[in-house]
Amino acid sequence: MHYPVSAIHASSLVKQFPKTQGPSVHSLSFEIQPGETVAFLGPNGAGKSTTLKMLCGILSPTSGSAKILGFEAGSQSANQRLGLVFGTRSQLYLHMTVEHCLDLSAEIYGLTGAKKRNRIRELSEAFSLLSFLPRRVRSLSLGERMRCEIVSALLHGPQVLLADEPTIGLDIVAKNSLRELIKNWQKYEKTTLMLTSHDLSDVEALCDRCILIDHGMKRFDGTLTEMKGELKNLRRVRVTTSASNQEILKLDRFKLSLKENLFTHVYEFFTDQLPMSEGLFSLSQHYGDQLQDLSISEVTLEEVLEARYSA
Amino acid sequence: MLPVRLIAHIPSWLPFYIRYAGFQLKGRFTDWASSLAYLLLYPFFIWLLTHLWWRFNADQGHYTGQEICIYLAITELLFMTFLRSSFMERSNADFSIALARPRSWLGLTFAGQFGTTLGGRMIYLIAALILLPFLGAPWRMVLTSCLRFILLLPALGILEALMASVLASAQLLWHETRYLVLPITKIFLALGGVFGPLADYGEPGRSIFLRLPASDLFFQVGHFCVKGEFYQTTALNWVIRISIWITLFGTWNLWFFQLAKKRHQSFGG
Repeated sequence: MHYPVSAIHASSLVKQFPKTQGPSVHSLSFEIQPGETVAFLGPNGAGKSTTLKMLCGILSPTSGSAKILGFEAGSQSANQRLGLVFGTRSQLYLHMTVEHCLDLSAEIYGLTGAKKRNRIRELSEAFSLLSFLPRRVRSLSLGERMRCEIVSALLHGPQVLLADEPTIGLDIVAKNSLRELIKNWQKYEKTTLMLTSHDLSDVEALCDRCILIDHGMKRFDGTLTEMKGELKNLRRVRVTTSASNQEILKLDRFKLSLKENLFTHVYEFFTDQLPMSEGLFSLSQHYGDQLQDLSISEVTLEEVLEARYSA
Repeated sequence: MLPVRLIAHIPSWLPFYIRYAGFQLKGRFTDWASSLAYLLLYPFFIWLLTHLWWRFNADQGHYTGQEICIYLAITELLFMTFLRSSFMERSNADFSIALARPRSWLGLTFAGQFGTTLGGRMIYLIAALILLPFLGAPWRMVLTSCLRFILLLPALGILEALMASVLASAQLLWHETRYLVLPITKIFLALGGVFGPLADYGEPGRSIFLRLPASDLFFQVGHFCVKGEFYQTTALNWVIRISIWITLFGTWNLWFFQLAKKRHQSFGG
């Protein structure tokens, strides 16, 4: 599908900080279409946050340009269409109530009167914040506060949402709940989402596409499946036996990757080389009555990234 | 029809900054315990300083006991709402995010400080109106002084908001300047006649202190509220001096803000 205007368009972005050897972001170009959900990945110091800051106008590029919905990044028109969430920097006032903070956020983006009140109510309901509205921000848990931060960023109905590690520090329950809420809301409002996170489960839950950068340069741009490359066919079978002296199964295209202990063996194989049914049949034949448990898992995104970073 | 026409000419951004000023004022008094503590300390300071002045200057100074009580109420009020470092720290923290929002950081800092100062002063002024008659000042004199004070409030609020934004910008450029806020407030306290009117100081201190901006912001204001005239200067002179300070601080604000924005590009935001 072709869109006349990209949601985000970065063209040969360069950011060079003084007294540093090379540029933090080096000739970075990419385009994100409206409604896309994109993960922006890279190791520490790769230039993710710097790029995000250039997109929202916090930093100016040394050279190159960035546009948000056709407007120069950092301009009033671009900022008005942009929502920002920083996991490590609160935009709320700790000593004020959630309601006051949301009220202010809405006003900053020009929402007033009934429109503002309705929007706050609508988002508070969607993100289950109604009971928090009269509470002071400092009395909220981190998970509750992050929900408020996201609502605050979405109040003005931004067409593009930039989220820098929104789930940092959250426990697994809060993370899942937040992801679910963001996902539903993104589908509902068709907001373009660009996300940076070191938690790859965020990426898998929320994003269809990912851009991988390292040393300020783009290393990969494509779908998650494409990023996994041949590793997408890799499966791990974890076998638990009842016998401690059980022999290891030796087969071509089938290798032992880990012997966790005397009773647990982990095998790896590629399903395009060895069909799953055949692999499982060989294992059950080999272990026979001693086979107690068996679990199959795919390669994790962390491992994919690790492989790509080391490459 | 004139009010309707005037409303039509109000710039669209103005109502937002007014509401933002109100938000910051609400924020200033949201902590009930500390607000109450300040409101209780306020009459205590007036009482204490009035008695100290009376002990040292009885029948010797330019003011009667009732006048000094009102004078100290005004200068204490000005001092208690003068430059707050917590507000400046929050302004600093918001600097980078403000660049990504459709509102000016300078505008937000100015409006926030102006709202907090002006609103805070109005609250203390109401407290003064209630308390001063109990401390021995005649009600009519208190009311007149308070009305005179309200006349000067906007100009003082603008100047102090500009001072606060300059200091906030300076902190972005040189972080160590945050340590300057406390000395500056203490210098203004000592030289501005907050403890006692400069008119009662001995020479040559009095002549020197009268030339300093601290005297324009504290002593002259207190003196005007009590006496209805400025001390050894005309109203026009005072207005000119304040206007010069406003122009200077306004210029420094723009300059420091541009420098801060430039420097901000060097350390990653």
